[in-house]
This record gives sequence, C-alpha cells and structure tokens, in this order.
Amino acid sequence: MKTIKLRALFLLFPLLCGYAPVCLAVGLYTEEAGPFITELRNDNLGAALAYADSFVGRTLSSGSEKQNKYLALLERGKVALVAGKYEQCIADMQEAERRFLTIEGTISLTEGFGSLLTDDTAQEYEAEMHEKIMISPYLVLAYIARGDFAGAIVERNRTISKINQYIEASPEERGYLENPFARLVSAVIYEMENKPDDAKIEYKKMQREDEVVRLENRKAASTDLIILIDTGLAPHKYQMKWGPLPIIVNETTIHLGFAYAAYEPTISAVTQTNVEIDGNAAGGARLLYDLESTILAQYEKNKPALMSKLITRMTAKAATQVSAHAAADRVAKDNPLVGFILKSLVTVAGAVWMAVEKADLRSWLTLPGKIHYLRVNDLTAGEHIIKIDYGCGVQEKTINLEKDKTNIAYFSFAK
Amino acid sequence: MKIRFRLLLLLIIIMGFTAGCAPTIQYEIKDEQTVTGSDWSAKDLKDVSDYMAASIKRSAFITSPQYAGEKPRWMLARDMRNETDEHVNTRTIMEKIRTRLINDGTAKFIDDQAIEDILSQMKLQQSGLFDNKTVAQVGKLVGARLILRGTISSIRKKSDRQDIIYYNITLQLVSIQTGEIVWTDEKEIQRLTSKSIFR
Repeated sequence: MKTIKLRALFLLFPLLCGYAPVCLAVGLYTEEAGPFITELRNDNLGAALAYADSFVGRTLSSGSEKQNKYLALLERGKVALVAGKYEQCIADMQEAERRFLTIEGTISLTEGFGSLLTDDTAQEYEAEMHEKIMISPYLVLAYIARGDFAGAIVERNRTISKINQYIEASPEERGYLENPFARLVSAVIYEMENKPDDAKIEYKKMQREDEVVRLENRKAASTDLIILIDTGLAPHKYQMKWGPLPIIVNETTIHLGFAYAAYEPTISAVTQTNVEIDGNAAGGARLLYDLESTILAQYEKNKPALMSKLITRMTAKAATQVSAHAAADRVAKDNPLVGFILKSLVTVAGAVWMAVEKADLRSWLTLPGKIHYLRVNDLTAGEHIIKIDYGCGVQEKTINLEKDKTNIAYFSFAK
Repeated sequence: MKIRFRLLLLLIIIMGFTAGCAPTIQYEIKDEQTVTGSDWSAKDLKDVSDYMAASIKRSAFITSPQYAGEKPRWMLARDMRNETDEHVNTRTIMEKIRTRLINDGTAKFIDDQAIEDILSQMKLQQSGLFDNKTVAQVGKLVGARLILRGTISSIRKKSDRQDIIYYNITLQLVSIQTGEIVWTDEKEIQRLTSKSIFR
C-alpha cells in the first residue's frame, strides 16, 4: 500500500515535467490547421496546398507524429484534389486510408492508458466511419481527372465495399451514415463502364427514380456532363472545458476538471449553386448530400462513450492525486517540512495536470459541409466553359468533354 | 519487491537497446511470408501463373496435332480486366504466364507493346542511312493468331477485425480469326484474415 502511494507520487511529477510543457507547446488541432483552412476558404488553392504541406511537415517533425500523421495526410490529400494535384491527392489519401483500415477495430493499450492519464490527443487518430466512406469517392474523382479509368473502377469497388461494411451491414443502426455522394459517384462509374443495371441499383438505393427512368429510356450514347460541387466546410470541434476546480477532501486539496469536444457548424457564405455552360444558364445544382447533418448525427451517437471516458479519466486523475497526497502525509509524519513541501507540490501538480488537459479537436476539417450536383445531357463534345455562381463568389473552369461519354467536372468552394 | 522492480527496469532497458538496433534483412523469403493479410500478394501471383501455365500446357488445344503443326503466334491483351477493390498490377500476371509459356516452348508471342518501337525503328532503318545488308526487312512482321485475355474479380466481406477475400481469376485464349475461345480456365483463391484486438 505504501509502495503504491509512493508510486502515485512519483507518477505525478514525471507527468508534470514531461507532459505539461509538451501540452503547452502544442496547440489545438483546429488552430494548427487554421492557415490552410483560411486559404481554402479564400479560394487561394496554391497557398492552401503550401500551408497543408507545411502542416504535414510540422506534424511529422513534432512529438505528435504518430497521433496525427494520417489525418494530416488526409487534409493535404483533399486540398491537393481541389488544387488539381491528383497524384498528391491519391498518394496521401491512400496512405491515410491504409493506416485507418489497419487500426480499425483494434486498441492500443499504451495509448489507451496514456489517454486516461492525459487526454484523448495522446491517441492515434482513428477516422470516423463517415470519413472512411468519403475517402474512396474522392479517389474516384482523382483517378478520373488523371485519366485512369481502371483506377477509378477499383476505387468505385472500394466505395461499394465500404457502403456494405459500414451502412448496409446494420441499416437500422447506421442509416444516418447513408451517403448519396458515394452512391452517385459509384452509379456514374457503372454507367461509364456500360453497366446500367448496376447503376440502377445504386440510383434506386438513393431513391432517384428519375435516374432509373432515364437509364431505362436511354436509346443511344450521348455526351453527358455530371457536375459535382463541394460547398462550405464540415462542422468543426470546439473545446468545452471545466476546471481546474479545487475540491477539499479530508483536509486535502485535489483538483478536478475535464475538457471535451463539441461540434458546431462551419458557417458558409454560399447561398446558391447556379451553373452556366458557355454563358447559357444550365440551372441550379441540387443538394446531393448534407454531410454536416451526418457529422452532427455521428457525434451524438458517439457522445455517451465520450462522456463515459471523460468521467473515467477524471476519476483516475482524482484517485492519483488522493494517493499522492496520502503518500506525502506519510512522509510528513517523519519529516513535517519535507511533507509540507511535497503536499504543496502535489497540489500544484494536480492543478496543472487538470489545466493542461485538452479536448480532442481532431477531425477531417477539409470535408465539405454540403455536396451538390447537376447532370446535363446531350452536350456537344469538345471544350466548354463552366461557370458556377455561389452568390458570394464565382468559379470558372474549362472542361473538355469526350464524345458519347459521361464526363465528370468537380468543383469545390469552401467559403 | 525491490529486486523485481530492478529486474523489470533492466528488462525495459534491454528492450530499448534491442529495439534501437538496425533492422534485419532477410533474403530468399518463402511465398507464405509474402502474404501479410487479405490483399493480393506475391504468392497469389505465383500460384495463379503456375496454375494457368500448367493448365494451358495440358489443354486439348495445345496438345492437338493441328496446333503442333501450325504453331500460331500469341499475343497478350493490353490489360487484364481488374474488377477487384485493389490496385492489382494485372499486367504482371499476364507477363508472368507469358514468360513461362515461352520458356517452356509451349507458345511463341509477339510483343504487343513493342509495335510502336518496332515501327519507328523500321522507319529509321529504311531512311537510307543504314547498310541495306544489315537492316530488318519490311514486310516480315508476324501476325498473332491467338490472344490471351482475362479478368480478375473479388468478393470481400469485411468487418472491423475480420477480412474474408475471394479472388476469381479467369483467363481465356481466343482465336483472332474466328473469335472462338480455344482454352479457358479459372483459379480461385480464398483467405480469411483476423486482426488481434490489441495493436
């Protein structure tokens, strides 16, 4: 018993000396990601990619490489996709995805124990289910843009596998994860592969009977264009912190406190997605996927487990402080001065320990808040200028349409 | 208790030193060692090419007197169709089978990927810059009569810690003249991978 209390005492000091300075030096994830998010919102893609590059570099050279590397790669991969750097996008997203799938369903004992004594930022980032689903359709777009249709087919197959694994395996429990964007991209690739029956299956699951009817009535090949538009950014986490609050227990002062992450929507200035093709109005792109709602729903599902872990951590920290105080009391019986110093140090250490606890604000920030789409059929092959008016800004791109094929144009406006 | 604590500390220090040592390199690894999960591996590539080459060699078409007499040239299809959810280098599968068949004397192939290089070299050699006695003669290219093509597909059932994969690799030999499939076979590969809950 005496030994255990002494160990608690000696646990507290290394934690204070080692953990506190690191915590103070390392900022919150949302602050670290701030520069490239700002540039993305301002549509400065070159600068956004440069900042994302430096963000990955800093992550790899920091003490949090193991925890944050693959999330950083995911962020850079998405920025690279928007910036048209498809090779970078593919390399980053595939590396991140490989790791997320490797650690899926597993527990790291050391990280788990470490996070009980510190906070959740000590754990390696595990992508949420909606994030894992979103990786593959973005890779489809990257492969298509690169002209690699075989690669796009593979990523389409991966998209379908993930939909089956995460959504269709438990439709009642996981219905909120339903992803029309992933299904639409899959359906379009099936159409491009000349597999209309498989495409119809995906359209039916999306409850898009109009697309099913279109496929059934289709007579000859035509030059079609699918415009996919990401608008805004995904909801971001913010820190809810309480404490450190001193509590007196049996004439001993211990400190309690906690920090956890809550979501709030990222405000978007986009009010419309009106499309023009070669100066002619083509209509407004319709809302395909409200990713913001999915993320908020996912958070509500995770909340009970999050709160339970929070309470366990606070209890463990409180118990450690009580044990450390008890050990200092035993020392005080033989040497009152040393005991008094030790008790004071334990009190301070406990306060600092609670104060430096950080909420885990990590999430895939460069995901969009909403995804829109517009299909335009029977266009002429060759170059066309596509212009999108978002109400708060305009984007324009020149696209080359292949004859008698379904073509895809991808836009992203994060404002 | 003190002795146990010191022994534990010593063990941790030793483990730290050994972990910091240089990585070991192993040459000549076994096929089974290339399988690290449910994904496509070097062992699968080897198994498929061995199986298909053996199947072609013993097929009725290859062992027929007509084939022995005509010795038609083969070619590979540009790509083997990939219907899996992995970026498998399907060309490697085809080329491995081609290598086996050529080296066993079963088939003669024309190189479908060398045509552009061949034509550009021929054009150069006919430019008048070369000694006529040493140049390749025009009109002597051999045409292929048979094309080897195939598909690899997979069915995967995945949960958090379990991954079940089923690969189906189908190859066929098709007559370019008639469109007839003169040989076909398939190879199935199944694997179940379970992850430990702890990493």
